[in-house]
Amino acid sequence: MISKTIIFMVPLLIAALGGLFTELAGVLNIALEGMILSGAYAAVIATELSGSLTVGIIAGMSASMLIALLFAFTSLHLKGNIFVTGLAINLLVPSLTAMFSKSLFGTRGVIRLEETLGIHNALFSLLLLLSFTLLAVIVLKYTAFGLHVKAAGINSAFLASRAIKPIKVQTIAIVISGAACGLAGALISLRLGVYIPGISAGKGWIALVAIYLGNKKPVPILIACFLFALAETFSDTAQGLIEIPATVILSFPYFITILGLVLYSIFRKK
Amino acid sequence: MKRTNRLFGHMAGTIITLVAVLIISIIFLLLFSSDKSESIYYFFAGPFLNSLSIGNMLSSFTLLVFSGLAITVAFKADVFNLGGEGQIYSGAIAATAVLVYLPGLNSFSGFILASLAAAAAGGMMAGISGVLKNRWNVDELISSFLLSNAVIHIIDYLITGPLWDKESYLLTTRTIDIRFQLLSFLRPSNLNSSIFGALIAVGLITFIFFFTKQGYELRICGMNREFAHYGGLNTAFYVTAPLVLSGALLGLAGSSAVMGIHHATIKGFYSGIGWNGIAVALIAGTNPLAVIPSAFIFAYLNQASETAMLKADFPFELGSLIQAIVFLLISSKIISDKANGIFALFPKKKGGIVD
Amino acid sequence: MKISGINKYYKETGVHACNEVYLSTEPGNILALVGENGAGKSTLMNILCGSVSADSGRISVNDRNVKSGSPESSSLAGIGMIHQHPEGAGPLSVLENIVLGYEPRRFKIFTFLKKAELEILSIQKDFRLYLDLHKNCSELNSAQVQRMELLHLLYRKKDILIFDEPTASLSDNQIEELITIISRLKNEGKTILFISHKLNEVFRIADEIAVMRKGKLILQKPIHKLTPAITAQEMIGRAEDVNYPKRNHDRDLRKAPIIYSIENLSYRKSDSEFLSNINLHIHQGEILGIAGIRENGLEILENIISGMTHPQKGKLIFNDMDVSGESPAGLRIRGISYVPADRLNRGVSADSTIADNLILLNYKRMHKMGILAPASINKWAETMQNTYNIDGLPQQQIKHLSGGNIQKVILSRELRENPDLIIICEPSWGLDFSSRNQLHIELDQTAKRGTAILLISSDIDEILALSDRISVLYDGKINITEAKSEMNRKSIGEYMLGIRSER
Repeated sequence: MISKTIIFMVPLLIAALGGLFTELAGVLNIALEGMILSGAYAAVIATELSGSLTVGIIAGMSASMLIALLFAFTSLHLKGNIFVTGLAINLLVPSLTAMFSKSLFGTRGVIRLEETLGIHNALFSLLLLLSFTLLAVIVLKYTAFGLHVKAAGINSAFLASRAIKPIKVQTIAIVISGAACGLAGALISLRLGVYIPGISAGKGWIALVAIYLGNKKPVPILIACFLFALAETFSDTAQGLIEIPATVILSFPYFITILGLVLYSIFRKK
Repeated sequence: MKRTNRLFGHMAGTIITLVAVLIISIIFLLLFSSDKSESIYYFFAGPFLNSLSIGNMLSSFTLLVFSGLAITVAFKADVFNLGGEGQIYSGAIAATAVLVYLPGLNSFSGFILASLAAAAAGGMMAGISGVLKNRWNVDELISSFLLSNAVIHIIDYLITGPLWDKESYLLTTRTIDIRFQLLSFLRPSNLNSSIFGALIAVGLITFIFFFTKQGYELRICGMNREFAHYGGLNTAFYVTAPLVLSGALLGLAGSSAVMGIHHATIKGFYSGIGWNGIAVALIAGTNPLAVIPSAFIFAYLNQASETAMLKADFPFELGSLIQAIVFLLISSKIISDKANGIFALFPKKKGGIVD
Repeated sequence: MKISGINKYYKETGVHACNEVYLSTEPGNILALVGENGAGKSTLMNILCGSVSADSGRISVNDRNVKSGSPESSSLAGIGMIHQHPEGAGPLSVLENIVLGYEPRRFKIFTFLKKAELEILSIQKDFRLYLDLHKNCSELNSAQVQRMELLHLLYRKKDILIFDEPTASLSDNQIEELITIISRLKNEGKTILFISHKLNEVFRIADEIAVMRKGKLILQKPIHKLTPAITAQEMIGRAEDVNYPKRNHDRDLRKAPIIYSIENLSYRKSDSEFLSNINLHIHQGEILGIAGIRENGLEILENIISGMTHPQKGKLIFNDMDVSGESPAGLRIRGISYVPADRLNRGVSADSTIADNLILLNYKRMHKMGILAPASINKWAETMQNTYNIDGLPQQQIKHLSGGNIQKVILSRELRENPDLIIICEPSWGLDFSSRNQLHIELDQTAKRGTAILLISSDIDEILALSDRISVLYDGKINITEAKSEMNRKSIGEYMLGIRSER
């Protein structure tokens, strides 16, 4: 079961680490969900058309980065309300995918692939998890860009006074989150070898929650993602074995986050 | 996570957004449909061609008026309610529970009790966000959203578990008795008498806003909370109360769907009402009367894309795409500033003093 | 460095912030720029740094032109400024804060913090500017944040250092340290511009003094040709600029009952904004003027008296009742009215209609069973507008009115409540002369009817024209309270700037 959890948590963690960059840069990124979905979709389409999984992954990441650019443009450059534009992304992607499916394949929904991405190995997944976490730690801690991202989130006026445009840093952060979400989406859909509308299944939201629970630090986020993946595995495998019904378990992350927010603001007051 | 005080309020920006929506819709129609002239025809005339589509359009209009009005109430007080879906859902399940499990109700008392229960359920959910905001300064925008998502899963569980109708092959609760079902019009469309309820609600909210003491206090709190506090108004109350009212209206949207359309709570029926309500309210721009045309535009667009899809083999539903475009553009400060600049070029009626 | 013929006019407010300003200084020189609030010092410095562009005039450093309105150009010319309330990025380390934006790199993308650290350590040694580089910036006090910013400027090899009211947020000890540091910087050949309104410090540290008043540079002279008293007079201006309406001061109010008093009030917001041990009282029908500098306690005093903030220590007594814990709502019920300094955000709801603004206090009496008819609102608004001569239609947004009309809306609304005490803050900000004189007549008549008025203002002329008694706030304390007849412009100015003290 642990190995299943670890396989489950790879996309979640990648999305959460991508979202971490936007969160640290002071951008409330609720568009993670839509970006994951666009990645999942584009990956399947590209694999279907080219026959190569690598092309699929690259296509997934590029599609998601495009969506991220749209998000950055409307929220930062057109100065839209970040929550409203984020919602827009989450609404836009499903309708765009439905449109492409219909005109390319004549279906409105499910697209199946012949081959699947063979990530069924827990050890390999674990390696992926650790290397992505390490990568995030290194970028955030040891690069100038990481420093700028943090400064943009903490005090953007201060960053601006040092001749660095916060909006530029934030745009790059959003695109990074797009790339990460695209990868996460591609891993989800290619592993199953199928695209189903709504395949992201709230992963973007859970990733956001994991960022908050992990207190915006890579390693605690890793742990938070593990907990969520564990809950998912539970609801996937142990139906009937435990007292609490599976669908109720799905509500836990949200309750926990609310509780976390309350505790956070009580703590901050003191 | 800073919030901008004004999301909208500029007529000019709204008009630009709507024009953009229309142009993009037509472009998509031309690009993706096989028979272009036919799909354009069905897109523009489709909703009015037969009584079924007129009825369905007005039925979705009803729900959009409820949800759009609910969000407008929150916006008017400068608070956010993003828990629409969960509040609609809990209103529906509360109404269903009353009508299915409470014995001895006649059609009138059933209607009243079910509506009250729905309003209370939705209002309470939104009210919690208000309390959290006042007590611990938790952003109501996020808490209402999270709470709604949590509750949706629990209601999903209720529908698929304890309240599931074992005789149905759908994921739904038991059907309410025929005596509780609202009057239908233009059968077999979904239109029913709750459309009058929605219009009455608009009238009532307008009255409260502009003709009552509480309405004045709410407007002042929504405009400038510091000023309201300075004037001795109870500003904390006008965080919670508008949220409760907003949630109650969303609860009513749920109960009207149960009593008027589905006659049971079907799993996931709320989808498309909750978020659309926000889009409606963004276009209406805090004016409750403007909710009526705004909801109508959305109901029309939904129905238009549906008929274009059915009749002219148009590939997908434009509805959610349109919603997305509205969300992308409507809150933009740059667009509304630019639009104001454009509109300022036209001569305006002089309105008295300017120093 | 030379500044010649700088002009800056703000259209929105109609303020001529800089009017043909000429200024020059050289390396190893400390030039102090002094002036009252709103004299144009900050605008001038922002122009120097490039964050504000001048309408005309030129700036040159070492005979090379600096492009106006370009922070890059100013920065390249070696101009650096330490703002009045310097900020950092809290959770990052001091070192990261110092190098932010100018990090030494390794392999292009990685920061080379070790190298930066060595560089900064050597600067620290040169200037004896000690600060733990590995601490979090959020743990620093304001003096240390200031030092961090100074290190940043030195790290970037700036030669012209502007200190904008650097002592405003410091304690006495910290001021001593800062003065030592600044003289050391001077000895190293840096050019220093020191902005302040505390003359005692200025005279300890500066080589030269430049005085600004109302956007104009009044004088620039070496320190030995000036005395604090002369400088203060130049800052405040000699003659009365405008004629105020005369008040009758023949009423003896010392026997009138005390209506409101403040006892041992203390409040600490930050190292610079605090009140300590304030004691005041006001009699019925009296106008008590409190003069001071806005950022140094006047604003907190306003917030506390009006119930927007609650005192940390001490009591507010109104009609023998302790009202320290009351909200604005509670104070209003007891008969205290308040006209805030921030009229556009607090005094009115700018986007609401004139009528909605006018009924703010009265609507509770106007409704019938909760129903508040628009017709009756409009009628009330029209009556008020006619009585107090307020322009506009009731349903127009109030933000389209002039400053004078907005002030009339607020004042009429407050006076209509027949309060026992009015707190009125900076009442003539943004008003033209005639509206201001009208306002003064209105306040005089109100006092005559027996209402006590607490006038909080940073405008000495206004305080002198209106008050029966005058208190001066300096350094968080009441420096003096005296009958108006015992005070004049010069003495108030000196108490306000801390040159004189009765304590």
